[in-house]
Amino acid sequence: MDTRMTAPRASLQDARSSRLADAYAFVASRHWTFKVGSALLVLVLAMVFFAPWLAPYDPGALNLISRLRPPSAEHWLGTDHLGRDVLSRLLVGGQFTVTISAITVVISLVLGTLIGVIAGRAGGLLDEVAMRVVDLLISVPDVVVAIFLIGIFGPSYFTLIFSLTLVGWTPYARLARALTKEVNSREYIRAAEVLGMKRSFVIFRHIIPNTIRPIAAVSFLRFGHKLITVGGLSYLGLGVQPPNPDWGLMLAEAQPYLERAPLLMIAPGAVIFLAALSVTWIGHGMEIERRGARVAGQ
Amino acid sequence: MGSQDKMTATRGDPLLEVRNLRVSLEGDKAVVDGLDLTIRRREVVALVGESGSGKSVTALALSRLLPDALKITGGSIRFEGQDIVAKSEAELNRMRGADISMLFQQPQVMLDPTSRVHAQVAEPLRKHRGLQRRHAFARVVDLLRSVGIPDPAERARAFSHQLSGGMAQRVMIAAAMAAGPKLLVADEPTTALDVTVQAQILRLLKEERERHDLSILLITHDLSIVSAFADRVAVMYAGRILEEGPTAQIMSEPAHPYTRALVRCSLLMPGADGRLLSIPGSGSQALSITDGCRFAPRCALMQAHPGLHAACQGREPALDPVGRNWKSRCHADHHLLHEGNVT
Repeated sequence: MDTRMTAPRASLQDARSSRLADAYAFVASRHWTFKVGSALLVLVLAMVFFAPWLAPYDPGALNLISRLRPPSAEHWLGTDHLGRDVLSRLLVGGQFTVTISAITVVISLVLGTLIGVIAGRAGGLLDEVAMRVVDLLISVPDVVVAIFLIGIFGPSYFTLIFSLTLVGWTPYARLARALTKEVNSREYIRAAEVLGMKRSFVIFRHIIPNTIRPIAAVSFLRFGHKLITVGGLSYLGLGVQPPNPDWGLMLAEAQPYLERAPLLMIAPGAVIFLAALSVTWIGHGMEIERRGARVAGQ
Repeated sequence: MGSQDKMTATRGDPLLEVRNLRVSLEGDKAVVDGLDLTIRRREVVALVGESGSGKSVTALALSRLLPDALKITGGSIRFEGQDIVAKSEAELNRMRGADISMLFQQPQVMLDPTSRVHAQVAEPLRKHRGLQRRHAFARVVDLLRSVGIPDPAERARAFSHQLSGGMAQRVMIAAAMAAGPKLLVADEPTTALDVTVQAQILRLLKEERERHDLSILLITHDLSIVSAFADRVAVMYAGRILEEGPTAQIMSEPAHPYTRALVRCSLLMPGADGRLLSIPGSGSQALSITDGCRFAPRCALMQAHPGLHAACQGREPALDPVGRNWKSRCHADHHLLHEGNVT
């Protein structure tokens, strides 16, 4: 009797204490691009979020005497045209791009998945209308929408996020719909219906969990795309306004000094590249696994 | 309260009465055509027939879960006196799982691969019995134990791919029985399982019937399961019932030439030429027969008695009584009754 009672409890505790080990095992068994990508992403996120504590100088502090300096022990990445510390600006300058991109991706993901799943499950006219709207919006580049709307309403967090999600949800909707059609024909959906489960319950409990992996892979790929888009908009002056630091803006500001201080342009460019690469690799790793083409590593 | 219910609901009361049910494809092609079927309390009724005879469609129609291409175009399905055909979707959802549950052929694909066993077995408990997550888990473990799953607390946390076919079907039975249904529709529940596991699952279903006063509609094409398990048999062909009656009589002295042929084939005894018996022709064209008996083109009895041709090809026979609780749809069943035992 005693052993019967204790056995499940012991295993519950095991499960709890090994959660960290599980997470490690989860990452360790992935494709190499996933591993490298997540390591890189952790690094980038840590840099961006701990920037206020990590930055050696105030990113806005001017020092016109020591402008356009090459890297030194004092300024690891040198100084810009106003004598500001490039490393500090680089660390703090990621906040805007990363946050905007992440918020855009999350909203697009949630919105697109819901629309796609509901359209796929409902079928009929609703499905038809939703997919034609997707067809229409997917043909509009998000940068154009952003430039247009920012031109009207001026640059702000809200306008930027709004204009990027306005067309950003469409790839998720299309993918979610296709996956829903597939999952919907599976037997376990019928089993849930036979037991009297409501439509909304079936969607949240059975359809979304079974479609989320490919959607997650795509969302990471889109995240990389968004980082570059937001960087590009900043570069065009449609994002963060000076004197606040931002990767895209730093690129723009470095342009006149390309010959005297090439690092001014290379550094923010490289950081945008690495940030985009990290999430793209994660998405790529997930995508490869989904296709079952696991590369024989270990 | 529950025991009082059981006192009043005596065995033999009709639980489900299907009258003149018609299920059609788009374009009004009937797949199930004028089906009558009665299931009494605590009764196991087997619905047998070839592939395409409409037995699975009938099963799905009972829960109103037909695929989009199929529609109920006539008749009634009365469950405890209420017509299922007239119910709204919300009423149906209250009924499904709570009054009528289903089991399917391939248990492993019936389980959601992304969700743990206990979550799925708990679904009907939480939906129909309003149990909270924590209470539901304890109840799920009890249910899993009652369907003969060893280490139920451990298995409750498993995913479907960690279960064998037999285990998965036990889990599905636990889920189907969770909300205490009165009727279980089992659509070939053992077809995908090993023979040894089949017997275990059938034994389990019998136990469930005894424990919960359950009625079972067993859909199968395996006559050996029928004779071991069912109280009554209904033989379906081309959307109709051809013969219906007590298992013992139907299996030993069928009153319809089609049943007789089915039983003979199921004995797997080679004929004079060393080949296994089969029924010549196929049933797929039978749905389009409008005049005469739908089985006539393949009927050995008719071919043996030229005097029957006019009747069998001219007018469809009615499902008439041939004995106590025993009906057959044949112009010439007296010929068969004279012939006696199948073997």
